[in-house]
Amino acid sequence: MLSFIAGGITHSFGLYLIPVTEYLEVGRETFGFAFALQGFIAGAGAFIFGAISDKYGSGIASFIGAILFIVGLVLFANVGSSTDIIISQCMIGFGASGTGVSVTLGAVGRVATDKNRTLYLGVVMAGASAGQFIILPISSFLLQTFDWSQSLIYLAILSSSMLFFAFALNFSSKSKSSIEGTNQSIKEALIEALYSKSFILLTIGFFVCGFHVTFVAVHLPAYISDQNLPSWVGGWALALIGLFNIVGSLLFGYLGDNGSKKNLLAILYTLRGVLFLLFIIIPINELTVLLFASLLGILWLSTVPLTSGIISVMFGPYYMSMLFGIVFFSHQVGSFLGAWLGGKLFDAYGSYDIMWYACIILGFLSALVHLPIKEIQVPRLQTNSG
Amino acid sequence: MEIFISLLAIILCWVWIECFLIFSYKVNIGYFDDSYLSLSKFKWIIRITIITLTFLISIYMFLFQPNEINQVISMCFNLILNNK
Repeated sequence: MLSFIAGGITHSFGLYLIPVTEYLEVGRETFGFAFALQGFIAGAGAFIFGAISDKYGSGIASFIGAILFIVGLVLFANVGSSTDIIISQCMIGFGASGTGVSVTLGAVGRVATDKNRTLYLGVVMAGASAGQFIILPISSFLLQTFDWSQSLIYLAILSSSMLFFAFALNFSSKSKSSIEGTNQSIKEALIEALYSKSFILLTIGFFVCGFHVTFVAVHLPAYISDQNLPSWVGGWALALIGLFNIVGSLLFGYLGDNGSKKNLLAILYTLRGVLFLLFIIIPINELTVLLFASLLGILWLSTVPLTSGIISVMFGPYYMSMLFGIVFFSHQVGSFLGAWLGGKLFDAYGSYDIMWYACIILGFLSALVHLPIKEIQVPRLQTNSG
Repeated sequence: MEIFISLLAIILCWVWIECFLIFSYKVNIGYFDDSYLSLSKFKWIIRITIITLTFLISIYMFLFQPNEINQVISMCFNLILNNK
């Protein structure tokens, strides 16, 4: 529910672009910059909140995150200058990292058993994905009914329900791994992960996920529009990505519990590469675009339960939030580059061809990067269990 | 036409999911531990999810004008840099 609400609200901010910039009489680049900064901070904060979550409990981390998120929303509702937009978005970015997937995945990962962990992580991701599509019409309705400032206050009230869910998240402190605790310090856990070749490969692979996902989300509607397809295709394409993203998270979550997660990730990235290749080879029409969107939806964020599942297998669930926070930061860097390079190369060459080829190559490279990953416990855990 | 093409895409993708599940089961046969959730139960969960979401999304898409929904969804996927 935390990821559902926070994720849904942050994805609705695009709606406020026009009313806020018109009210402040500022350029859209200020809003764009603040938005980009928010995403970056959410990625960087995921590591910090992940560490707080692992050390002091997921409930505390998400409670602090929820407070920051609500304060950020109230500040955003009362902006008076460009600086205010940036400050409020930074606050929201930090809040989103506290209530985001790294904290919730860690909490659920600690509670779940080895047999069903990846499916549970898939359910969390499916919930977060659903939030993006359920909160969106609510935000749109509020914006049409009230003025933009008032509608943000209502969203802040909605966000206050996250405080309740933050308390509920304390259940993870009763989990086996939390009760057993660990003798390992945060520093030791970080060194162990950063010296692990498999962890580095996983981090590199997840960069590609961010690159693909954000490039498609940001530039696909413009690409479709360039192909002179009817206007409804862009909307349906993104809606189908959302629909099958939920299904894909469950699907790969379930399969991850019943097979090799790293092999599934390699298959997933290969399928992405093949899909991008087919998309630029096959003639574009309404059906091929919607089929591309649906299939891409299945492969959209299905990487998350598998990636976080591998972290849990390798290092155990205790520091899962913090370690996933590091991997997630790499995802966010990929996201930034996917969005930025897409626009930059389109401006330079007037087409997305280079980006599509980059997506194909990166997809196959990422698949190769996942193959040498050793999906086994680190020596410390092997010694403990032995 | 709009709903027909969209439903066709959903059905084709659904078929792909069913095939992928069967393929994964065949490949991992022997390793497949479905003691806590059987494959057939999971398939039904997936089917019900797809049907429910298709229904909800269809209603949602028809509540808005195509242009409006395009604008709303696009903007919410951080399209702001493109709209400069």
